Amino acid sequence: MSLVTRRRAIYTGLVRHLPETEVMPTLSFWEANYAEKPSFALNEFLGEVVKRCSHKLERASLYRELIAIMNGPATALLPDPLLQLEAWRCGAGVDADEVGGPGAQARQTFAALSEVLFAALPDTQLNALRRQLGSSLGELGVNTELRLRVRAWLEQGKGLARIQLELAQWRSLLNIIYEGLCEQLGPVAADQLLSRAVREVDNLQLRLPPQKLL
Amino acid sequence: MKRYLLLFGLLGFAPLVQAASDEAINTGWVVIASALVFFMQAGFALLESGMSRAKNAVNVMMKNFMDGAVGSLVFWLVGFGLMFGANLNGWFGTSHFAPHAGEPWDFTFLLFQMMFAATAATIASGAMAERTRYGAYLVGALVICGFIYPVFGSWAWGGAYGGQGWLAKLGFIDFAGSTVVHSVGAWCALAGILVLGPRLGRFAADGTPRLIPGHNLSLVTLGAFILWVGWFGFNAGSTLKMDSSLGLIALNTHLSAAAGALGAVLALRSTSSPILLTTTVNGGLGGLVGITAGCASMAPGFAIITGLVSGFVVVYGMALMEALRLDDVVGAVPVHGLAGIWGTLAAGLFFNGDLFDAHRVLVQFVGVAAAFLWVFPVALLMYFVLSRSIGLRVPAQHEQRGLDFSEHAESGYPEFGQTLTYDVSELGRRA
Repeated sequence: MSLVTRRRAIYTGLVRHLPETEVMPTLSFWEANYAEKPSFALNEFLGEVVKRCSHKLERASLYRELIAIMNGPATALLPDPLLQLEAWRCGAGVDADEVGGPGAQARQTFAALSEVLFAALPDTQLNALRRQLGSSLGELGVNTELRLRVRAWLEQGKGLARIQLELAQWRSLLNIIYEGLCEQLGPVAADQLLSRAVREVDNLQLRLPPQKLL
Repeated sequence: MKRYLLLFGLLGFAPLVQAASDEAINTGWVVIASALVFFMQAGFALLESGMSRAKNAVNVMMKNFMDGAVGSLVFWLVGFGLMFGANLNGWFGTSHFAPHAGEPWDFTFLLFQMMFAATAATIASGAMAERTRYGAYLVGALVICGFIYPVFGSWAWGGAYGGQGWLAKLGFIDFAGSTVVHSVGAWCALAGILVLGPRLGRFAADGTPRLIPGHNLSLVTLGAFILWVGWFGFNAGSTLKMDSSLGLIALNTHLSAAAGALGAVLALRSTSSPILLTTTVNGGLGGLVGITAGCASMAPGFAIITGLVSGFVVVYGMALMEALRLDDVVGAVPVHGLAGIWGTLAAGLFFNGDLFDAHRVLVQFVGVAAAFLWVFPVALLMYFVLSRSIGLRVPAQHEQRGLDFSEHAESGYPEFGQTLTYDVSELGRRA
């Protein structure tokens, strides 16, 4: 089942039980922490939903309902809530990252680091770097769909919020950028630039310190 | 009458007493020379570490420390027997493996030769610095000390316990090892860097080399001085006895090193390059490598020529390596390999009393070629197998973090770290 179909199914199930204001944060939390996990992790996710929800929910019945939705016809699902989810993320800012858990915190720190790294390059070198990185993503070890999303972010500079990676994968992605910087600038300049980026992002005092991505 | 008998008796024992005294003096000299040669490990460690980036300093030191350790043990176990054991076929020795009993001189000789083996192994360390897996490197050092080096050594120096190596039979001159020790180490290094590939970003996409400066040129200089001092033991100790030839050997060693440094400066002046300390130091080391083969058999004037040319060979050799996109961090291949070739040929050209003998030079050339043809393919195969089995090159992330952190969980300069390429707090989790 594709990520889009799974997201539609989870959304369809949640929207029936959660207050409107809690649907998007919960969906974002699912996407950050459980979207790539096997289906048996659904029960664990629902345990978190029950804890976080302002209403009283019964986990077992919610679980049965979601399983039924997932096994049912795709036509019964609500449309993909991706646009609403992204709109909520943009508006919620830090809240969105906090609800997303460690993966989202890593993404937030990674975004800040990559911004400093890319900003240091003139346009021609940045374009060359983006092209080069696009062909190195096999080292990430993620599925095709995720790899395509990372590639799209590299090429267009947009859509980082849609990329769900584990902490180790964010580290790998940063290392791929470092490799590219070594090729473009030389290893000495790459080390200096990375060090500067870490210091700058450290000053932002994000929830995940930039050193954790090294 | 009794007095006369006693006097005659003492006179009869005098040659034996003299012989015993000679052996003791020779033993003392060779043990001191062994210590000097071993001290060269410290020189290599400082030189190579200083030429590497700060984030790899511990790794370089560890490699130099441990290749001397494991190399010595494996040389005792198999290397010595392969190199100096009874060599009836001319290709390898077949006795004296893991020597546990013997005459006092056997142990002295073993000690001295063990230090040479460690030197051959450690040459590859600097060339392959900053991107080699520590474990794989040590396996390579074991194979060099236990197999590659002793087999070639048996051709040129073998037969201490019977027989003779085929190169020695031809009249090959390599007094202290321009080829036997230094070129062997250099060809292993060349094979290693070919399999490894260059460090990240060492060459731009169009092939332009990028300078990766070493982190401490004071260490480089101190290391070079230590090597220079150690070389007196390396060359003069190769007499294996205290005799009147030591002065000439030590003088030639010193003159050639001095001329090598000068040669490098002159060579740099002939190019657009600035007069770099690292290259000048390498020129001096090239002079030392160059004179190693012929230090006992040429006049001081020729030692100066040998050193001077070595300096030029090193400078242009380093340029050649860059042009070929070969990333030799410390210049080990030009210094130990190319200067080793020149020095071995020079030992034939400038042989005392028989200058420029074409036949002698031809024999020297055969020895040089044999060293390359044996060492390079075997080392290439060894590093290739290592790279396909346990892995020879570290992952790119380890290159980013530096091998001190990723291979040893240590930092060479915890209080002065300028670069932030790894998570320092992780070091606290070692315990």
